[in-house]
Amino acid sequence: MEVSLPVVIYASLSVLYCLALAAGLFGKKGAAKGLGIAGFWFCAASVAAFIIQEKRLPLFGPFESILMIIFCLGGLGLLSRGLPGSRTAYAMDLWTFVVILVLLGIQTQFPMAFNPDFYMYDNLWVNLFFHLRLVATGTFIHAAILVALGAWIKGRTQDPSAENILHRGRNYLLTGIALFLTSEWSGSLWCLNWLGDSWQWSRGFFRGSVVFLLVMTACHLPRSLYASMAVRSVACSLPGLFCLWMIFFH
Amino acid sequence: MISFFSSTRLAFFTVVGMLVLMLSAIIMTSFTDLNTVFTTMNHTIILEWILDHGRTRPMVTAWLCGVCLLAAVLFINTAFCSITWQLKTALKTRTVRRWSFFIVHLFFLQVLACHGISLITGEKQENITLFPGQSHRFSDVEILVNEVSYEGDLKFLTMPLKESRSLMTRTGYDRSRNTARIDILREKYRVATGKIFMLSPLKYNTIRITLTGFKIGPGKDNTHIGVMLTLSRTWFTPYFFTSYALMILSLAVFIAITWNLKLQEELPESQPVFHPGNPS
Repeated sequence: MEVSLPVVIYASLSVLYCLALAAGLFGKKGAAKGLGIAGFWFCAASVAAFIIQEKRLPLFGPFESILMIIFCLGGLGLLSRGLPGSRTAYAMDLWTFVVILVLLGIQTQFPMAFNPDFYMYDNLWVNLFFHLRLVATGTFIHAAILVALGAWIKGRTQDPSAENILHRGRNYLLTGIALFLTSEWSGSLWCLNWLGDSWQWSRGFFRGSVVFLLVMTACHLPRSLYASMAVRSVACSLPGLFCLWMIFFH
Repeated sequence: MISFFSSTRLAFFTVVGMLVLMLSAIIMTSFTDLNTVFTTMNHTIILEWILDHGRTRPMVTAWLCGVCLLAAVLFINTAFCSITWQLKTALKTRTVRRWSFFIVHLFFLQVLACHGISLITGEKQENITLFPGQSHRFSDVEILVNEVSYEGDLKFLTMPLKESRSLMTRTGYDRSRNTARIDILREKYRVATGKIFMLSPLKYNTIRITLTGFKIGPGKDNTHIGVMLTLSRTWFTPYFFTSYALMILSLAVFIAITWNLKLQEELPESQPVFHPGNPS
């Protein structure tokens, strides 16, 4: 039986992140950290292998979307290592591993294969539209983890580092929307050259609008709602969750 | 009155209202007949669509009016907030952060205005099928298809869309080899000419001729191939893309400036993390 590249990638990522989570849960912080780093670099190598094999960026379809989102989550997780308090960084690692494993679990419902090629994939705007949407999704999920973590810490303790974590979450939420808008901007150019108009009244347009409006909602919460940590973390998690739903289930 | 129109509370409820309408549109598009109505909205300028179909399609028309109304409220809210609060604060504090925050909203207003303008101005005709030698009147010009060159597999044009998409790969379908030569005539004089192919339209002043597909004509030999075109005339497209790009750029600048900001120290009015704006 021939084993395809997606199956190898999927199995290896599952094993690495399962071991990382297990090590973390058993208090082996060093091992969890090391396995998380190994998972990220393996994912980076997988993305590189994908680009070499398919001669394009990860764009569309559950498998390559999962791969790119995990790559972003792993990378952003490493970037956020400098969180105040070692326990916070550790908790963020564990939640990142949980989210990655959930994503890998969702992938079992879809074919273990890269998306078929399409003649428009040679166009820059098409590439930017699909690829940046995946990067934005990874960034939104990372923001959701940070805000949830910050809100949880703030709700339970008077730890001043909570505000710092929440601020980081806000940074990544805004970065996510900047990336998403760049993707939509590219998509508008694609739409203009393909269909003669910068936007179309279609399901795709409505879904894109929902993501933007969800971020707008999170950024314009009235004071009464803003004070609630639960509301704030839900509001900041919705863009990432909606993007995932958009990619996998619609 | 001014404080009401510039409040974050109004922005929040307007955005939530729009969110509900967009989510309802996603649900509506899962019904084939309603999805078809939304598709027809792309065939022309929205103002024309409302005048032609408004009475016969009440549900989608009501939805559209709701979106327009909320977008107008959001525009007014953003404009009021920007002028009465953001600009005032920027002038008072003179910090780059406040200015960049104001500028992000300014470009957002421009993008919103461009969306509004696109609903009521310009001209658009979709799904215009022309065979070589045929012409079509659009705006004040005549669009003439001089020549069609199709080198792709003919079965791509006859099989269902989903099936053909999976076969039209980068190696299996070269879009630059499947073209049409177009002439634009004004009072029988050729004012522009050019080759168009998928994703590469012909532009003449504010007119844009976009090739959206090929079509096999009547006859048994399948050699008579025509093109499907979208003809549009809009003057604001460059403004829209420039404003949109500048909005993203100003947002990126704002994020960079506030990345490591110790907001607690700078903003004693509280709620700084997600509220660099007006606390209502």
